[in-house]
Order: sequence, then C-alpha cells, then structure tokens
Amino acid sequence: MSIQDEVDEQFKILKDNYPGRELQINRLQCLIGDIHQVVPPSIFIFGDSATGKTSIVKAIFSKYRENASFINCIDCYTPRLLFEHCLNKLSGYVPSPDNLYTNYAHCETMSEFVHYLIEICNENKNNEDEITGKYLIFDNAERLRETNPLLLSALLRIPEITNLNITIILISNIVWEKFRSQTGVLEPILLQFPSYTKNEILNIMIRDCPKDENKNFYYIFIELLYDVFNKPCRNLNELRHMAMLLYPKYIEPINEGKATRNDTVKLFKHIEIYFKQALDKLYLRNISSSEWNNKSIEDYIEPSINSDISFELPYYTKYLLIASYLASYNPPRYDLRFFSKSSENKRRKSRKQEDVSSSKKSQQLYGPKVFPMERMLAIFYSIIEDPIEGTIDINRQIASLLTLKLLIKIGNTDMLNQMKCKCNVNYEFIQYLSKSVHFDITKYLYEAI
Amino acid sequence: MLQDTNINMLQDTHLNINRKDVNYIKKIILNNLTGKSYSNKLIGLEDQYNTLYDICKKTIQTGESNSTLLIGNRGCGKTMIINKLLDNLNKEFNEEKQTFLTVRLNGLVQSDDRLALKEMIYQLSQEEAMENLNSTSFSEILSYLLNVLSIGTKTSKPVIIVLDEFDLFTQHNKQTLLYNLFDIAQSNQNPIVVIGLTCQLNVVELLEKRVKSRYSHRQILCFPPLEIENFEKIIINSLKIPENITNINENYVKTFNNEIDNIFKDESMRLIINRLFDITNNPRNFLKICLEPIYKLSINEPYPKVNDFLDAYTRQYVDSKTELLKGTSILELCLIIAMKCLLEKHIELFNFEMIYNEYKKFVQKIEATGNGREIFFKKQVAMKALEHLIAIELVLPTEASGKCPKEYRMMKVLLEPNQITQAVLKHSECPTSIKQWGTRWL
Repeated sequence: MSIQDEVDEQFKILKDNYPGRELQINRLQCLIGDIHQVVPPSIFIFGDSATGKTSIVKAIFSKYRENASFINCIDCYTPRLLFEHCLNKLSGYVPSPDNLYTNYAHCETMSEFVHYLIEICNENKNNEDEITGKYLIFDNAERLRETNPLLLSALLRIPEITNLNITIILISNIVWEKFRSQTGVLEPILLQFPSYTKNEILNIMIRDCPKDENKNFYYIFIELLYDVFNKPCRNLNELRHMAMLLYPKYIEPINEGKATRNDTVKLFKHIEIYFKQALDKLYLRNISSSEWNNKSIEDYIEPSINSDISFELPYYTKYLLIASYLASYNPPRYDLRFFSKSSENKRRKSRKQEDVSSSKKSQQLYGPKVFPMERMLAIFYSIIEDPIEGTIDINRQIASLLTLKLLIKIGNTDMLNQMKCKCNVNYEFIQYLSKSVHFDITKYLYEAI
Repeated sequence: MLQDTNINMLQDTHLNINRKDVNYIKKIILNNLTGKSYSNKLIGLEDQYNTLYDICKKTIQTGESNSTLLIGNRGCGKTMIINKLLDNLNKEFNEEKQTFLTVRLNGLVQSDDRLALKEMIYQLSQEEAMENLNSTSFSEILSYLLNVLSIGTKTSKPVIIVLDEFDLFTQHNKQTLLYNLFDIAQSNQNPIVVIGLTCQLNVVELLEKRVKSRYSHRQILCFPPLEIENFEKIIINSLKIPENITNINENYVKTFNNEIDNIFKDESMRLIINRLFDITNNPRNFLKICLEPIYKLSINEPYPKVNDFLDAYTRQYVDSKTELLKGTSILELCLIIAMKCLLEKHIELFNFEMIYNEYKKFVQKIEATGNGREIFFKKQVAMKALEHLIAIELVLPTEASGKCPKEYRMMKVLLEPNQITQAVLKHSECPTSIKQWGTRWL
C-alpha cells in the first residue's frame, strides 16, 4: 500500500473516531492530505487543552513514515536536541546499540540544520516530476520561545530559505498573538480546535461505556456527572477520569441488590455524597485513584477536619511560625496594643469591624509583609504561655523553618539576627497549627478573616 | 451568482477537465502563493529591480565592485526581487559557462561570523577546502577566505553576495564580516557586489564607523503597494494561470482565469480586500487567505468559490482570545469577571486572594436568589482554575514564583474589559446572573 492510500485511510478512520472534530480534520486533510502536492509553508494549530490537537495530528502523521517528524518541545528543550531528533526522524535513522546510540549527525546550529535538511531531502528525491512534502511538527510550541528568540522566526522561514517543499506545523494551547516577535515571524495559517460543546463531550464520553452495559443507562450517569462538574471544570480528560472512578460507586447499590437500574432517584441520592467528595479530593489530586477505590463509604460521610493538612512540627517551632504569621499580617504600629504585657485588658480587643470596611482594599489581601527578625522574636516571647525552661536553640529552629520554606528570607544577608523575612503559609494552615497548640490566633490578628 | 455556477457546470462537461489538469493548476498557483516560483510578475517594483540589475550586470561584465542596501517593509517583495534577479542573471550569464558566483546568507540562520564564513566557503563550492577547515580557528578561516577573494584581479570571477536580514549581521562581534566584505568591495580586488536586505530604516546607523566609511551608501527603498489597485493586482496576478502554458486544457485555463476575475468583482470580496488593506498593505497576508480555497480545488469543484475566501478570512481574523474564552468553565469565567471588576476599580495588579474576595462578594450578593451555592467553590478548586488561566496565558504573573505564598503572587490580566464582555455574551452555558454581572457597565 502506498503512503497516500494509507493516509487517506487514516483520515477516514479519524473522522469516525473523533466526534465533533470533523471540521478540523477536513481542513487538515485539505491542507496536508495530499502528500504529493505543494505544501503550505506553516500551520498553527491552537486550542484549549484536551481538545484533541496532539492526538489527531499525531495519528495523521503516524502514516507519513519518513516524511514527517513529530517533536515535543518539552522533550527537546535545547536547539541541539530539537535539530538532531528532527534529522533522525526525517532520515529514518534510529539510534540503537549497533550504532552506539549516535544521531544522524551532530547538529547544533540552524546553519548546520538547514544543510542536513537539504541533504536529506535531496537524497530521497527519486523522481523529478513527483514532489513529496516534508512535515516538521512541533508540539507544545510555546516552549520554542524560551530557548532562543530567533529560533522560531528561523524555523518558520525554513521553507523560504531552503526552497524545499517543507511545512512547519506548530501545536500550542496559546493564541498566536503571543508568538509574534520583532524579528518578523512569518504568519502561519491558523487552525483552531474549539472547546467541545456539551453534546460533543457526552458523545465522546459515551464511547467509554463498559462493554456489558446498557448505553442509555450509562448516558444518564455521564449526563449527571457533566451537570455536576461542568461548572468548575470542562476539561474532557478530567471528566473522563472522574467518570471512570465514580462509575463503580454509582452501580454499587445495584450490585448489592438494593436498587434496580430504573431507580434513577435512588441512585442519584447514593452518588451525591461521592460527587461532593470527588471535587475536593480527586479533582485536586489530594488522594490517589487507588486510595479512592479502597475507601469505604463511612470515610466520605465523616471526613476528618483539615485532613488534607498533614504536617508536624515541634511545639516551640509551631509558636515561632505563628509569631511570624502575626508579624507578617499585623501592622507594626498595633504591636503594643496586642502584645504588651502591661496593657493586659486592652490587648484582647482585635479590630474586627471598624477598619476593614473603611479602607479601600483590605491590607490582608495584599499578602505577607516583610518583618525584621527581632520583631518576630518579641512577638514569640510574648505569646508563649509559660517561660521557656532551659535553653532551646531558637536560631536553629528558625534556620529549619527557612529550609522548609515556611519562612522566606528577603535580601542577601546570612546573619540570622539581621535577617528580614516573610511568612509563607496561608491562614488555613496557621489556624490548624494554632488549634493543635490551643492558641487562639483570632485574638491577636489585626483583621480577622 | 447561482446562474453563473450553473453555466459553469454545463461548461465543465464540455471542457473535460481531468485530475491531472486540476493538480497542475493547483501546483502553479500554490507555488506562486508560497513564493516558491520566480516567474511571477513584479508589480510596482520594476524600478528597484532595474537598478539592482544594472549594478549586478556592471559587476559581471566589467568587474566593478559595489555595495548596496535594499530596504523595505516585511512582505513588500525584497526577497522576490532578489530571487527573480538571480534567476534571470543565471539564465543570462551562467547558461553556457559559469561567469559569476552567488552566495546567499541569512542573518537568522548564520547567527555568527564563523558560521557565515563557513557557509560562504561552502557555497563558493570549495567542498574539499571545507573538510580541512572544519577544525581550524576563526582567524584561519577568515584569512583563507580573504585570500580567495582578494588575490583575484578585475578579471577573476565576480561574486554576488546577498545578506538577508542584514540588521542581524550588524550585531555580530566587531562586525568583522561586514568590514571585510565592504573593504573588498571598495578596494579594487576581486569584483563583488554586496546586497543587504533589511526592513530597518536606520540600519546604516547600526554600522560601526570604520564599516560605515567603506559602505557605498547606496540605498534602494522598496514600498508596499500604496494604492489598493496595485494591492489587488498583485493578488489577482498570483491567482491567475499564465496564458502561454502548454500541455494543459486551454479552455479550462481560460474559464479559470475568468472565474478569478469574477470572484474579485464580488461585493463581499471587495469588502474584505478593502478592510484588509486598511489594516495592512502587506499582500502576503491576503495571499495566505487564498491558500485554503486553492487547496480545496478538486475535480468536482475545479473553480474556487467566493464563500471559501470569506470563510478563510473570518477564520484568520477572528479574535482568538475571545474564542478561547468561549470554552472556559463557569468558574474560570467568574474569576475573569472578578478581575474585570478589579480593573474597574483601577486596580491593575492583583493576586488570587483579591480575585477570590471579589468572587465571594458576588456569590453573597446573589445568594438571595437561591443559586449562589451552585457556583461557589472552595479556594483550592478556584486556584486550580486560575492556574489553568495562567497556563493558557490569559493571566500573566508579574512576580517570580517562590517569593511569597502563591495565593499572594501578583498578576495582571491580558484581556481588554471589552473582550471579557464579549466572551460572557457569547458563552453558551453561562447562567443569567453571571451574564448580568459580567456585562454590567460601571
């Protein structure tokens, strides 16, 4: 079978396998489907993640044999890797033990790359009249901007410079505007992969239906799932991942004989609690898929409070961290009011209501402020319950907090007592810590959250 | 229009178009559109071409050295002039016996002088010399090349050197290459012409003093088509098949050319040409639109259609950011609207906490109507949504990561308030309450 026949066949298969992408596949076929014609200089394929860009293009070019090179720019992060992989693929050269894993050629610069490219294209040319297109595909093309500002402009100009029948295809999830630079990038043909609509998503997800399952029954399940999850997330991959893990839970009552397939309401009541948990746990990847499968129903109904924070620190270190949080979020001029031992009765009043509404934007929202070490230590000695017995090495604790990145050092000095810091933990975390040492942080905070 | 196509259909059966004809026509036009063929007529650039032609001819025939710069906008036809010039000169002087040599370098490809020198030696077809030079130092290569170029007298073979993206060559260390090339051109050594192509008007100021003094200060300016008539002529010219082509169905060529003329008389077609010409007078942008309709030609549809051109135009010039926003989830849309609210308060830089706070305020406000819970999500879920927006570069962090908790990392939104409003209106699954929030004008 000739390459052209295989390619035509592949396009036909793709149109069946990718519902909702017919238009895009047709456009691609129109532009690159005929391997023996003049190819367009460059095509830019873009669209949100999980819209089938990479998988469709990869599937098409798997049939082009040596005429196409598919490069993922995350794998090939330097120009040399990029060039050498391209040349290997186009020449059909495979690094193996026999050739000591060498590449087709050593190639570090654009200049050499252009030479080898011409060399390869001329080698394969057998018939004068018949032209064959060559295709260089770069997935995750946004990474190309990082390596060398001229690389992208040069790549897009390869067809013009070499005068070969070559096309550059870039795939990215960023819009084309972000690729323009002042060196004059040649504008490619834009090909958008729009996000799937609800119907398209359901049509794709129904293909995951287990073999022995009734399609209509499964459809009710995925429609339910879509309606619950589409607000925070429309990524097809995420939805399919959820469907895979939630489906066994959905049919649990049926397997246990508690419900039949027609009891939609009963099944819905049963799965509802799982849906809620799935968003918190599965979607945020707080637990792994296998953990999820092994958990029993009781675990979902009574989730332990703050179970996602699992972190332990020594007693005094916790106080140190709390002190640093207070130093970061309280304005220094109120320190006297909150922490001075003499004004015992005054300090308990935190300024909850009065100030927050009057200031244009709450200072709390701007994040942690920088504080000098002395201030934090002063707060620390003021908030610990009983005076420290014996000597503990406070400095070493501070150093360990710094290595854990719970405190962030500002400036270059390495002297601990001159250092300025910022607290790097959020309110939920500090709340959890204070609870564990029975310390009421809200009393000391300038603006309660 | 309908009648026209009907007549064409009738004619087709008489014309007997076969697959070979269609493919042949496709090949010719595509070669034109992608700049692979040099047979295209130059429109509005005849003077520039003639000047350059005279310069080169003098060098080839009388051994006079020269240097010149060809300056013009992107896509105005500099490379095309050179391609055509070299093609014609080759036909004229190199047919029987090689009487001159050409070297073409591109600033994007030959990114330093060493590479440029190697490439020059390679193109002067001294491949055996290449092998010896592979491991030698820069100075040795340079002196070798200078030897080759300077031992000659007025009677040696002339060399035409074309430097594309000339401005990039001026960034090379000490401008050694340019210095030497201009030096050879100025002193009567081997006859050479140095032609630099650039789109930077002030390029002469980039030259060092000693380089500048050796350059002949001859500049040829190219302009993109200033009148829409010329602009249109260039486009139509690339879409038509030359009448003198043989071995193809002549009637088909005739109807095809007629059809092209008809297409460009169409109302809506005129509209998009005018609109595009107002945005940019670079013909390349329109030629790109023509690519897809031409690729569509097949034995069943041997003539391009107006609608295909219009489709290609809208696809190329649609606001892709708004398109991207159409597919975002409700939560992501809410976050973007929250950013818009902050912008309206003249807060240009914000962090996640501020966005979330704004979002929370909105949810509390609509809580009374009963559907607030449905669209409210925990901080971590919202954070994940925001990270996706950063990944698709609709939001740009302005601080390096790791300097503070990521909730407080400052960022800015890369969308116009107008684009956000458009996206909200076009979003298919957006609830009414959010639609009102997003389109509210301050």
